[in-house]
Amino acid sequence: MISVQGLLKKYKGAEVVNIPELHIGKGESFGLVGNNGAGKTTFFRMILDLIRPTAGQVLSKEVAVNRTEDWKFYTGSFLDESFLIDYLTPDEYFDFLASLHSYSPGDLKEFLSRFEDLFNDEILKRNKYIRDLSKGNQKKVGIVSALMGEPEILILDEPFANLDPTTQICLKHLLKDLKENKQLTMLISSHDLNHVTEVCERIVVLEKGLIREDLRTSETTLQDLEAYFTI
Amino acid sequence: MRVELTLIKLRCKQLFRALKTVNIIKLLIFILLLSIFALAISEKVQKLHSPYYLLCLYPLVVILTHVQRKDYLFLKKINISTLRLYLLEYTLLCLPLSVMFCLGGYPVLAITGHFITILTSIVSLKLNLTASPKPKNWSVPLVPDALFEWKATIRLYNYRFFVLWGLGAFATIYEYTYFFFLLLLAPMISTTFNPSEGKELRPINTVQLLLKLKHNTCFLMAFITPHIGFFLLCNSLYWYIILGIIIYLILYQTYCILHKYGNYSQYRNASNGVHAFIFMLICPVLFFSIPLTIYSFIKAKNNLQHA
Repeated sequence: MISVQGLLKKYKGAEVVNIPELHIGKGESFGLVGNNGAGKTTFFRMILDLIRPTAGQVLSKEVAVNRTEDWKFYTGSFLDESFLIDYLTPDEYFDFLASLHSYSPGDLKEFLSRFEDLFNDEILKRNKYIRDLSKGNQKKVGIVSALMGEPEILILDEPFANLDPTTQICLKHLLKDLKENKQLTMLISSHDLNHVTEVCERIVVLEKGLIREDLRTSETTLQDLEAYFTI
Repeated sequence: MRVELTLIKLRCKQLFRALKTVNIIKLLIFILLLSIFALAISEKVQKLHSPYYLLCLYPLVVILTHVQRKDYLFLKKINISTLRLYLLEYTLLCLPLSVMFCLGGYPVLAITGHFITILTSIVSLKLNLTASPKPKNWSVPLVPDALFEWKATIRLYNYRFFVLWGLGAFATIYEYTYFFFLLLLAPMISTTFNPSEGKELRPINTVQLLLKLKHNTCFLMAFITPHIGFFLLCNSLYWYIILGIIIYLILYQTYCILHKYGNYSQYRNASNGVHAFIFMLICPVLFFSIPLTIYSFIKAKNNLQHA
């Protein structure tokens, strides 16, 4: 589904990401872990063609992401709050995105009703601007907007950060459900090793832009990861 | 095109909502200042023999707006024609200028200006003069979003920058306003170097102190260069004022930094307000100010060696 070939990103001469080869298959749930500055977000940004790599390329369904815009129709993503529009209410934001995905008002209502548990009655019809929502609630809006349009690929950067425990569990169930029932290809980065091992079947450890480990999730993965990150 | 128009509609909604969060009195003062400035400019345009250099205002508006866009990532994420959206937005932003030129009897300027706007938009997009995904908070607040930042401290900072730019802009009409600009800029720079910075940012030897001086001078120049460029464009005969101001600001800033580290102690914060103010007054007298700066440098050097 997604292939990376000789991907290199440098900032002022320093290598931030250097991934010679990586393939993520259709329906795979792919977790990316690493310390701050490991290059996780930069890697995702290159996959989404938000920044251009210094060398190499990212292919989505065998087509380079910088050559065409077609991949945007089947890729949902949420990296940070810059994907949101601050002075709109979540309802208006969803309305706008729904118009992009040609949803009818009924479709949108049905779509949003699936996330009632996640929203916990704090998002919709509150007449609050997105900028005034808490970080966690902004994240909820971003994640749900990424799922709009029934994407085949979902890319989320630290989706569990800033969420309360109830929402974290809710989100975990949601992602598992998407993986099992919709065969969604998921790319998730997280600092939370527990969550990422629960949700992802494959975990890659990134350190200073380089892939250090590429693990298939098993019963010992969490201990392996904890051992890796223990100083 | 439907999506682009929806985005413009949303942009207007955003602007209206941002304005609603601002205190009504401040808003009225802002509108009043803007109106006075617009009237003064249109009066100046009517008196000009050759107003064609005013066309530079068009690319200036486009570039300053473009580099401060906050929706760069959002627009890249959704599949729309960015160029078409930029053209629409920037043309709308430049519309008041065109109205002003038309009222001043220069429709040719307005038409040419819009062609320049289109050209600048294409160049901004094609030559990778991309908008910053995360604009810095100290950016020049020509876009209301920066001016009406929700954090009070940043908003205050942006207001001061706005007043600063306003004075600079008025200086194109009344040259003496530039001195008020200078008087406002100097204390702002001195407050930038208050001792609240993190320990890791403090220089620990002379080399680092010199590097700090270099970085701060670069920042200062980066900040004032477009302003000075605009001033020179309108008042090229006053180049010697600009030269004097640059020397003044660099000397004043250098003294503020050196004085701070000359008196810095890990047990107390050095107060530099009175010294900075005295230096601000005597700074133009180079006979006093240069030796004082050298003395401060030696004192700072010794202080850092023994810290």
